[in-house]
Amino acid sequence: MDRSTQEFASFYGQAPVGLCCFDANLRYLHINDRLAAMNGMPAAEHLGKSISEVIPGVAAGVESQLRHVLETGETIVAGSVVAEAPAHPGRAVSFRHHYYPLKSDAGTVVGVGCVVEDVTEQAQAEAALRESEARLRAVLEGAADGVISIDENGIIESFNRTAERIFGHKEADVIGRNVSLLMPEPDRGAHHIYLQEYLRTGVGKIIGIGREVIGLRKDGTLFPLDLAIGEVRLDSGRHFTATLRDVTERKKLERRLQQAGKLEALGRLAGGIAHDFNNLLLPIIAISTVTKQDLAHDERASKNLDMVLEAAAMGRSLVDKIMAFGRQHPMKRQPTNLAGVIEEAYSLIRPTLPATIDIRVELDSAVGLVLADTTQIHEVIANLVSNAADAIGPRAGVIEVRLEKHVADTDARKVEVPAGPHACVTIKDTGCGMQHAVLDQIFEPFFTTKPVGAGAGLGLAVVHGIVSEHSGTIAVTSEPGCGTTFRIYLPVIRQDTPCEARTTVSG
Amino acid sequence: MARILIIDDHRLVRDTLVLLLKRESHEIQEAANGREALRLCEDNPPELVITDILMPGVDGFEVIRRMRQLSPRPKIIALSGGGRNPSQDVLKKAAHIGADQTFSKPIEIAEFVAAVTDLLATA
Ligand SMILES: Nc1ncnc2c1ncn2[C@@H]1O[C@H](COP(=O)(O)OP(=O)(O)OP(=O)(O)O)[C@@H](O)[C@H]1O
Ligand SMILES: [Mg+2]
Repeated sequence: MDRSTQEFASFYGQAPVGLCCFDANLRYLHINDRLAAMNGMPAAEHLGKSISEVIPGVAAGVESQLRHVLETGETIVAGSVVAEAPAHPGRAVSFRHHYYPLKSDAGTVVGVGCVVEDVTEQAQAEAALRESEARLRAVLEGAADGVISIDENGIIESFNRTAERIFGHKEADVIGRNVSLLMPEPDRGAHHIYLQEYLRTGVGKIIGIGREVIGLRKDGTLFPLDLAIGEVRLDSGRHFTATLRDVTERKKLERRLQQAGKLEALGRLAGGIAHDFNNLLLPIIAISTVTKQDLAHDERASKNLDMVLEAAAMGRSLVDKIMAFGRQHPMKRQPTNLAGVIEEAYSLIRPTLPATIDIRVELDSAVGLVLADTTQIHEVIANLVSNAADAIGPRAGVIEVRLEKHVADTDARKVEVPAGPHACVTIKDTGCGMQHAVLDQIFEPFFTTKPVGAGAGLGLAVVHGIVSEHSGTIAVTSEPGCGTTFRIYLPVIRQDTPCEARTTVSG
Repeated sequence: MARILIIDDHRLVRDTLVLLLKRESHEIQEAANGREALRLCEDNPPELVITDILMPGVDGFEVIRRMRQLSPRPKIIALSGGGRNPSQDVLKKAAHIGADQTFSKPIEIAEFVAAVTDLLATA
């Protein structure tokens, strides 16, 4: 062997990839040790053998590709085969191969050259990566929080299932769009600038900190959400991952707790005030009464004293309200048929309302028994009906008072009535209705839109207190100019045997 | 002429009750607290005691308990202004430990005067 032949032989024999040549009949012309080892047969034994004699398991596939190269003179680059390792039965091995035509000086294809690599490890690594990606994806999809990732231009790259549920968008519809579509103005317009500013200066208001922001759902509604953003730097640029949680429920609870705390503090204050007030009212009422008796002959003095007594009576009813609000009255709860109580309340209230108001009462007495304090239920009905009458004012109008079984609402967004049977008392008016800003505050103690002296702003605070104490729920819907509907849901403890199915009163 | 002891820490309430009952020609004694009232009763108990319940120091409950040990035992009317404790609860307790009649402030004048008359008639 001359030097160059020897050099070539070692280049060929010691190559870390498999190399071989086939003649035009697809018989081994030569093969290097590396490929021979992969095939599990000494190199010398290959020569002159057909492929099926050496690697029968994959022979058919390999032969057809080699034949293609022979016939067309084309090169096949980076084909791949997964086979049982001939040298190690039972172990799967992945090969990557390149087949190219060997041409004579005249240009005819006289054989095929092969380069074969064992890529098993690489394939395993890829499979492991795919699996870990799938696992990560599953974690993201299953996460209780919404997870959204964006690139440095704010373009959405991923949007998990919880994010879909929170925003009402499908992942497929938002991928590739700017994340600002999930924000209301002014955040929407400012987001791009904000992001660029962060990229430039590294100073951010949310990134790495987290805070509460307002989100925009697909249906246009707004909601509060807790947002935390993390930054990831990859070769492809800077990316951001937002983790977010819809905190509507938590906010509601917080507001309710706040309200409860406020009510409790006011209740305590109210107790003290009521006590002092009663002591002050006693002399005013008693002395006016006896003085009026003494001055019975003096018409003017009597009239004046009547005014004192009237004012004192108003003071007294205010104290009663404050006490009711402070829940100073002990509850005497008994299994109660609400229809009877509402009818009684109605008969007391009707005479106090103008005849221009048409009150329609429809009571289903088969709603079952509710554990209730009758006096307090009276109070609730009286407050709601008198508010309804105030809302209607001197015009003609209708107040509907209804009692019916509550059928569980499947639309959980509408009212949060707990599971189980409930009696629903509806008081609906055709009055002035309320703007959102008013609606938000009506249960606040001392909130009133009525002129001084006309309303203390305690009616609904009392109603709210009573309904809560009865483990009930209260819901309001109102439309300015159209009217208002209050619904009170009280849990039914047991079904009563109905004596009459339905009472209808009108007046 | 019956002797009546009025106990209330609120001066205006006391004055008012005195005024109401003097009109009915009763002989009235006053006390601004429980301790003073008990001292007044020691030798010569009145026929009727009208007492507030919530007072600093010796309260109305204590007054009622002590009055029941006197002989002859005075009739007792308890008053409460409600406040922190529901007045019904307070009055129920007062009735339980021996008050003959109870009234929530501000009292119904006619009923109150009638109750005084009735109790004195059976004294
Ligand atoms: N049916 C209704 N229609 C329109 N607005 C209402 C209705 N009910 C209540 N409101 C609004 O809610 C406010 C608060 O009601 P709430 O009963 O607590 O107090 P008020 O009626 O003003 O005073 P109060 O009941 O102590 O005399 C009212 O001033 C009114 O603005
Ligand atoms: Mg009201």
